[in-house]
Amino acid sequence: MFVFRFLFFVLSFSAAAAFSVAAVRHSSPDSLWVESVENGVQLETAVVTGTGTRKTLADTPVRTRLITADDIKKSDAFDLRQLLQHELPGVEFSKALSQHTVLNFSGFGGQQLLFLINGERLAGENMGNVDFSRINLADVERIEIVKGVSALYGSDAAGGVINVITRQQRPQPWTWQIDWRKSAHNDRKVGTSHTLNRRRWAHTVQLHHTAHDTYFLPNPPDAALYGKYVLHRISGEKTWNMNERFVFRPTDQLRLSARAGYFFRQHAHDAGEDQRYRDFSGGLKAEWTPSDERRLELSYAFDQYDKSDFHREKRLDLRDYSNVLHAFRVLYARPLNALSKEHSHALLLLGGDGQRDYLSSRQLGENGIRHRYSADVFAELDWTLGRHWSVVAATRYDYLTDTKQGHPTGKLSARYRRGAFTLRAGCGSGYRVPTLKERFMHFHLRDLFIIRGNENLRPEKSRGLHLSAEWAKNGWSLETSTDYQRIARRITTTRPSDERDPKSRLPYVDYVNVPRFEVFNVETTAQHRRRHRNHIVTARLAYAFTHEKARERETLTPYMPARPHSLTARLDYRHASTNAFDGVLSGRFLSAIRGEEYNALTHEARPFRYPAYFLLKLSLRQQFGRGVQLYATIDNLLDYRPRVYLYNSPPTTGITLTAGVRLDLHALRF
Amino acid sequence: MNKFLFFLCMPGLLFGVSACNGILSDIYDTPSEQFVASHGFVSHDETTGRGRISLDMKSYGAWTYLDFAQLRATTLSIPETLSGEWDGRSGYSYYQVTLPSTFKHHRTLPTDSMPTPEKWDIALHHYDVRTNGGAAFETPYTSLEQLLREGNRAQLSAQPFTPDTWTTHHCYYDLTGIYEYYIGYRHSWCNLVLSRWMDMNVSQPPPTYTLSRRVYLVRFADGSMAALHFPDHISPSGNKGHVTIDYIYPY
Repeated sequence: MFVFRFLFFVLSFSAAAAFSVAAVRHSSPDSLWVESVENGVQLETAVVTGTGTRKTLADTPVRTRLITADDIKKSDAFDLRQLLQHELPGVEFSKALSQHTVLNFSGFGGQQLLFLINGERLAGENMGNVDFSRINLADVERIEIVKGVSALYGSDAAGGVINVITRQQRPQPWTWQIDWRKSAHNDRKVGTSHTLNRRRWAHTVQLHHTAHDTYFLPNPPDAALYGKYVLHRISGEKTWNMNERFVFRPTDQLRLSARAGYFFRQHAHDAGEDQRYRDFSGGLKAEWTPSDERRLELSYAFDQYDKSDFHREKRLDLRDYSNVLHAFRVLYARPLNALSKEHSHALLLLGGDGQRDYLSSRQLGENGIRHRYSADVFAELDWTLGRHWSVVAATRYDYLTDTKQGHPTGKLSARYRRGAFTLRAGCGSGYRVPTLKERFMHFHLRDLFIIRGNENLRPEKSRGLHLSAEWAKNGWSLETSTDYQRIARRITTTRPSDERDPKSRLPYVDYVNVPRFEVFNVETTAQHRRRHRNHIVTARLAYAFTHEKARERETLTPYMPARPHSLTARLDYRHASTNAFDGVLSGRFLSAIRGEEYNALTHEARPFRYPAYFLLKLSLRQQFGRGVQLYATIDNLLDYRPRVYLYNSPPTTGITLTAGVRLDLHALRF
Repeated sequence: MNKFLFFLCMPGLLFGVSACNGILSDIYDTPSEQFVASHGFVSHDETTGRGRISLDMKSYGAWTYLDFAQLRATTLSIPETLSGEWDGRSGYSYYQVTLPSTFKHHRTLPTDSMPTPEKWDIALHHYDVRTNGGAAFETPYTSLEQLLREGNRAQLSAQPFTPDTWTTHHCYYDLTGIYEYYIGYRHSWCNLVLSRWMDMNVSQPPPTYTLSRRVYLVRFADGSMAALHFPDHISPSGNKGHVTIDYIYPY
């Protein structure tokens, strides 16, 4: 540990010194915005999440959905939630108990999804979901989404991996961006990002702040008759996010990087209390690439996520939750000559992780402190067989000390490509050991009930299949894919039981294994892009069908059910020039959900319907010279307002206007 | 520039003090454990009559009776079943509620009547308060100091004091069905003025809590008076349902 600390001190002081003496140079003649216009063909973008090695999107055997930095700009999203909902059909963020944000991604909740930043896990959770506010879009180079379990990053995520990849280095010698925007409900965002880029090193500092006020949703007086998940208010919130990264290349083959971050979020709970969330993170990474295909990677990541209640009158900030992760990773890739011949090529990737997971929480009852160690090893064979075939076979073994349980899992993916057609198929198995919270929780939930962990929970086991077909030619792109996942012994919570706590008389809600949960998805995307001189038009339509099969009546589902049909559409016009203009009309449709809602107290069932909705958004962006961008967004163009605001209704109160400006100070010419 | 260098070096400092179980625990407040386990009269000054009561009121299943003369707190469980003949009103009822004022009765479960100690002055059930044949008045003052400084005892005691009311849909018993607005209430005597010290608002779940901060005067059945101030419902360790009462008795 001392070595890491010493190295981190050195890197931080180096960064500070470098910043203070940096000479200002002229910026690159091309702004990033114009560059991104020219590199619009996603299929040639390199991705890493599916196989662990860089492959183009067209080549990778593991189907990967990509959101580029250009997509992020076009979406004009405030945060990751808005971005994913804008880009992907089948994604829905809704509210849960205590106003936490929960995700349903094609039928899977937060526990079955793995959110990574540059391949590293995030500590902490709220209702099984990571804190989405932590992910700052300003620094994102791309987001890679791979459905199904991952042999490289974790076999516990049957729903898939969402890997947020940040920019490591920019081409300009220095950059300095300032971003400001404001919207309804005093929703505001301001941020600054500064980078220094030299031949051997690069340094990045970012600081971002967001906030919005509390606002009430205009429900009718009889709102309770429309279902039990009625949302009445959106509580005010503010966040601060600071990141610093230093990259050093002592030789062409060796790359060292260090990062540190601080995140703070304050959520107004009631008149006397705020809920606070803090995260402290740091990491060190060394990558050695003696040749194009040989690579050794060592990394260490520290992530601490705290929750506290701030009592305003007493000025007391009392921590009631802390999750600390220490994670080590080693990864080695090399060509496998025995399988490499004239038209085939094989790459072997070996690796392993070690992690210490510390959890201190009032939710864990009397003792309140638990920790455990986990370790895994994995091996992957990436085999390209001639021009048409490519196969990736991976296996993994996970072991946890507290349960003394280990389990092998595997994944097999194949790609066949001929001309404009690409076919992909894959299958895999997953294994999720109950979390510390699921095993040991004992928590009084706001005078309502006691959530009780279960030490005898058995691990979830999942199996999945994937098929996809893609055709891309002359600016047209059509893709359809289908996924099937079956989870055995799914871990969830029961409905409130008849058993009551002897002291408080509150009923228990227990964690249990339920026999089976199945999800079937179909996703189809059509895209066309046409360019005439400086005029570029892109149209995209994406549709997703999701079918969940679960024994709902036995469980207190920790997230809202998935919408069967969802659709996103985007029409994008761009006039590419120094004073570029960009206009995007985008829409999002989610179908209704019908079902039966069971009241455990009255033992009566009543039908419910979560209504369909369609939101339309117009985003306009005008660039002035190379350094100034003004943008304006009209969200909810059709002025949709839910009759009753349910947990999965869009929390809109009508047409919303957003205005903002971005200054690229490095590109300004006076 | 020095500040800027310090800002840049902070991540290094943070990481440098990292530990297996996390860093920077000092930025949080540490709760005093002194009062966490207390349940009853914590302090009383015979000279001034001032004192403090600290009560663990998380449970919906009990009333805690306070005897100011004896400085005694007695907690008794609420009967949940009927063992003999029903008195015609004790029990609990479930309502389908459209807050704040529409209560559609669903069912009533009769129980034995609530036992009480031989001598008591006021009693608390979670955040509900009742008196033993007394009555209460809400003053405009927000602390006992302000009451002593600005209050006129004669004028205050001449104000209209409100006696207890028998309620069937005021004292929460079961909030499990709050998200369906299906709420169980305990039938009980309740002083609706004194219970205003806390507004536990469940109309927009999860519940929110707002304290009135006011000082209340309670006239007991024997004619003596007490001044009560409820400064908090959160324990020093941050747990809700831990009620603190500062009082002057006799006032």
